Amino acid sequence: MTKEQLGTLILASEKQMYATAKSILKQDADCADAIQEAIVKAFGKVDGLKQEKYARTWLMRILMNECYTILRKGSRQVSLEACPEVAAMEVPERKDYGPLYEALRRLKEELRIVTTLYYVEEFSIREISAILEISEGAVQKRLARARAKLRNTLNYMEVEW
Amino acid sequence: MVRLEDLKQQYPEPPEFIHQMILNEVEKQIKSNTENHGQTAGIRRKRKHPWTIRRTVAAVLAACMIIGTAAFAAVSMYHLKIEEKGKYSVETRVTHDVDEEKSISLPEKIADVRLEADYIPKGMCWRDESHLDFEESPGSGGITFSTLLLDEESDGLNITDTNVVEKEKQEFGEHEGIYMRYNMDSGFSQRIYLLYPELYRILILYISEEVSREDAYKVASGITLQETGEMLDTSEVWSWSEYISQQNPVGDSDEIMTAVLKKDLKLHKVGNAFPLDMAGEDLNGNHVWASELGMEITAKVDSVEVLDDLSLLEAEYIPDEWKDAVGENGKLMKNQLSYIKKGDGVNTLDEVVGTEEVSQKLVLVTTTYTNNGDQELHNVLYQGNLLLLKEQGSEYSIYTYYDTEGLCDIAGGGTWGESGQAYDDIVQSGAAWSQIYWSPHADYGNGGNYISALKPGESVQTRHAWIVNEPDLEDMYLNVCVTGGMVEFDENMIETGLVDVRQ
Repeated sequence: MTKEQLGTLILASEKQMYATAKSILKQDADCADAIQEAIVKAFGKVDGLKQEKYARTWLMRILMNECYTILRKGSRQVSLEACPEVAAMEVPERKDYGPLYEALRRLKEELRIVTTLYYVEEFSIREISAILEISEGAVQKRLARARAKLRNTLNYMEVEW
Repeated sequence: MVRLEDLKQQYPEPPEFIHQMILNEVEKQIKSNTENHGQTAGIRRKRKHPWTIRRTVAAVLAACMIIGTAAFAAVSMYHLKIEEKGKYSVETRVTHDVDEEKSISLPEKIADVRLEADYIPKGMCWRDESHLDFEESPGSGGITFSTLLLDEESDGLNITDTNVVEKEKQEFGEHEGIYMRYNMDSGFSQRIYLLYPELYRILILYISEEVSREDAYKVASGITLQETGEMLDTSEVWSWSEYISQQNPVGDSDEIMTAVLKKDLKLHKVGNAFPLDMAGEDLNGNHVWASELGMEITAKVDSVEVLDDLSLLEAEYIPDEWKDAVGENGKLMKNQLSYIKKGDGVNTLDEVVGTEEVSQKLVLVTTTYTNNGDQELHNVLYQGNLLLLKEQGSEYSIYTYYDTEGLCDIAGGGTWGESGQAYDDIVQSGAAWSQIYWSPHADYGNGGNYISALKPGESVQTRHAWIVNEPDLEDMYLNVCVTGGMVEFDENMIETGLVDVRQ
């Protein structure tokens, strides 16, 4: 795969990369950090990618590693209240999400990421298995649990299912 | 009406600053590599992020703060100490000489380091700056390096390794280190912790089974950490204390339901139709459940066939893994099962309590879905999951297993052989339970397990297949609920019921 092809893939996967990062990290600034690091690393490693058909799952795997690295370093974040002039730069989070997305945000991370990969990014069970490095059975199990929990949450939220 | 497929529409778009960052970064990377005459830019350990909010905050704060002047404590006072706990557990900690000041004191910024090795085993090469790969099988085994900062919070923390069958503390070159081998037949079964007190670092070498201990020692002895000249915020470097805390992950507290009272679970016979709620799209493309439209859809398992080969399956949909399960005679090969009793890793190790060879069978199930309503449904999701149930007193209990990297997790384990030896896991060589075959495939959704259209009064037939171990045939039940799985019960499954497909 050439650098140009990788660039094209990344630009075409912008929304998917954001969705993946967002399913793990809460803040957009963290998502941006993870995505940027993933892009740098992907370009650094692209020569080692022998089969283009795996490029998308490979890219998401790199991104997820970056997300978890940031997650582990959660405590390094600086309080925005400490620096109000910078706090004003914070991009406000959208608040008008649909009920399904709101319910998704309430899921545990391990269920949220599987649901996002399947329903938003449309990866197959097999691809998700490769991205998360878990068995396909485990993917199915988590999807089933996510569906059940989403349904319960949406019922609780009095949203018609 | 809400359906999960709507998530894609509800998911937020990337904010503009992320969109711009991606455009800029891709352009920069391509340009950078072009200017480097097509050479790989190389891995950058840390990079500047002038645009990001948090880093801007950090920079502003840093400018407002007095730069710390805390001096490094004397480095000679640090040592690695190991302590045995039980027969197979080892605690490792960084200790300090008793006469020295005990607290670790780090500056706010610390030099970044890169790894250099003066010995690389024959047949291995660098994949990137933190992986030594086998040239003939890149990405599989080798040695992975991870550098951690010895931070303030590391003081007094222990890392506990279990299932350790060999250990040795010694000097690797000029650095103190600890070698361990774990009770594993494959994978990264060896590890070395190396202490670099002069750089306030601990280096971990994850070493695969294929690397000899001698080579691992030579690599470890020849490793040097070189300062790159770049300074990093100390707080942003992954630390030994963070690594230790990660080794104790918070468990999944959610209970899963693996048993249900017999009186609560409906069971259907092969050939009998039963109502089933299904999700699809109406004529306007709205996602709907059949029940919301007042429609009744029924499911009926028409037949269950047990076969020794894959000849009745459509070749294009056969999972790749299954092709390796077929021998030269075209029949499914036998499966070697090893029954494992898990040890606690401290005083006992995992133990093989029994082995056996079993035949693998293909189970092919044909199901008919019928639209008994007066409306048409499109892109109707269909599912099939095969469960294994045991009757235990007044309950049905799931023992369905699923393949986790060759290890089959059994809900509740079981007993093996006439002696009734308890086991927790089964390791298998075959393809049983690894994949599912389904047909038809629609050009819709992921995997395409959708019925394109189900018109009023129309019936559509689907097929699912699994490779199972022959003893499993006696305990098989089919779940066709779209919300259900194969390792736990949920309310829909119980309400809809399972199909008894035992053979």
